[in-house]
Amino acid sequence: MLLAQSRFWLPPDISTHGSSVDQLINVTHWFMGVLFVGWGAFFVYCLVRFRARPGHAADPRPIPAKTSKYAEIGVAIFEAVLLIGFSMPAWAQVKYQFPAEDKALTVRMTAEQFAWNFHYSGADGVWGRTDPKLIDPGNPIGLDLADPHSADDVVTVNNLHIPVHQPIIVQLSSKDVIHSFWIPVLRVKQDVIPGMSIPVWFEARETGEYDISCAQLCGNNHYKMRGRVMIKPADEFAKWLESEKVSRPLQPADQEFEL
Amino acid sequence: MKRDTIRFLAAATAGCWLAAAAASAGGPMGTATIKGTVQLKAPPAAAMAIKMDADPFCNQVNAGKVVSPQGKMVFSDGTLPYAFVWIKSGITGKYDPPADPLVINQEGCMYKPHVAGMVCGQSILIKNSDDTNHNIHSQPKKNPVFNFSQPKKDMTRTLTGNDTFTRPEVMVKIKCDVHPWMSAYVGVVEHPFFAVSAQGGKYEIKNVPGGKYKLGIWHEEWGTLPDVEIEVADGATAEHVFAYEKKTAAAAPREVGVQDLGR
Repeated sequence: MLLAQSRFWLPPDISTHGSSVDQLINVTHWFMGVLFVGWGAFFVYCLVRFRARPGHAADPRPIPAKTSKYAEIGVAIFEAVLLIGFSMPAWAQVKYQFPAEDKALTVRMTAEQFAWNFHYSGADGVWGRTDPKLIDPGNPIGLDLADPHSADDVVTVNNLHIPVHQPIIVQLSSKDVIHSFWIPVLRVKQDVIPGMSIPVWFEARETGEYDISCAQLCGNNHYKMRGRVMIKPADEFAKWLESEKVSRPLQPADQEFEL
Repeated sequence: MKRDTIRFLAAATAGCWLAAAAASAGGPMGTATIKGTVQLKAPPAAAMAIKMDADPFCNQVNAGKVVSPQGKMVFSDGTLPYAFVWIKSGITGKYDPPADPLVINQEGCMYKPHVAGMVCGQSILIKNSDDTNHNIHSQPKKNPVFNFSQPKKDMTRTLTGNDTFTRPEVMVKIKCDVHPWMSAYVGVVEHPFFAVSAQGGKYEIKNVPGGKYKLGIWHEEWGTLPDVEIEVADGATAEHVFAYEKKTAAAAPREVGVQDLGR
């Protein structure tokens, strides 16, 4: 299965579960390739062998040979193996085998046209109350700053900071339309539905900065709906979280007022 | 055609010409001034700084700055900027829009001005002074919607005729679909007697014809206040201080779930 492990044509995989996804992609594509070459060659053969020419008439009688029937049964069996042997285990791992919450960092993400808003609960582990009535340009998730649990919360826009080698659970929701949260290098993609909170999980094996993209057409700036995931060592992440605590109230507006 | 009919048609035509001439002549400008301040008599609304690092360009041009959401701004003397004050009723005469357009600039990943007024039918010149893609998306209820991008620095677009705002509407919100914190509000009025409160919460409406009027006020965060009856004589100055004690229901609508077809 060396060919199934080839990664040259895929984005780098820095997640712990990505190999099963990549294996499925590779096996499916090799299988499709074999079928394409096989059926394509047979198709070309038929076009040439049975081309219309003087002295030959079409013969409508079905052929008695069973080769094509056995070939189709073989394809169906292979597809069943792909589904049961590869897809279902990968799906089960990604969608159902969530890490324990006490070992994971949980972040809330609220998508909007056209930005990703991330909300960290901070040291107390409790998210501050949010309310759509409190949404404003500086407060995209409507965090209630009067709630004591908000004091250590962190809100970022388009920047997901996470520690390496720690499971991350992201609870996904949307303010407006359906988006899709996609981090290619972490092999994560999940539709984000307004009115629902849908969890995804992943764990990064390497540090670095990578793209977050929207994978569900959500409006005229869908193509620009980019974020960045910043994967850092655990101590750097802890320092960042501490330094980014929500700052309020803002000072009076005497500085740099401009109409 | 009968002679009476011809005479009637001639008189009607002459009457229409006269009416059209009068309508396009432009309403009267005066010599009075209405001015004052807008005060906040309540604790300022809690606010968070705008996360400019959502976009690398915006982060770079605003490096070292704390950018406040403009609707939450309060001066240290308790006065409010960005309140739109206009004469709501009492103005007679029709006013042509000025030849100069309302200029809306995108600079430092903010709209400037944040709040502005314009006369119905006035053209709007939108320009991008930032070296990044901005989108300009208006959300009027009575006027035409526009929604387009300006991906390069120094791009401009002028909206005139049926593309600009021709119907009175207080206020029309303009937002950027790329940078969700960017917003501007435009008050579309049938005459030029409006102002936006600036430093120290001060507003000033100039060249008002003497008369009795009702003043209206709108603020993005604090909403509206009851109309104020004000009388000013030619050449004189009338003053009024608006004081907000609490938020009213007519504050800017939250943009959640806005649906429109755009252009």
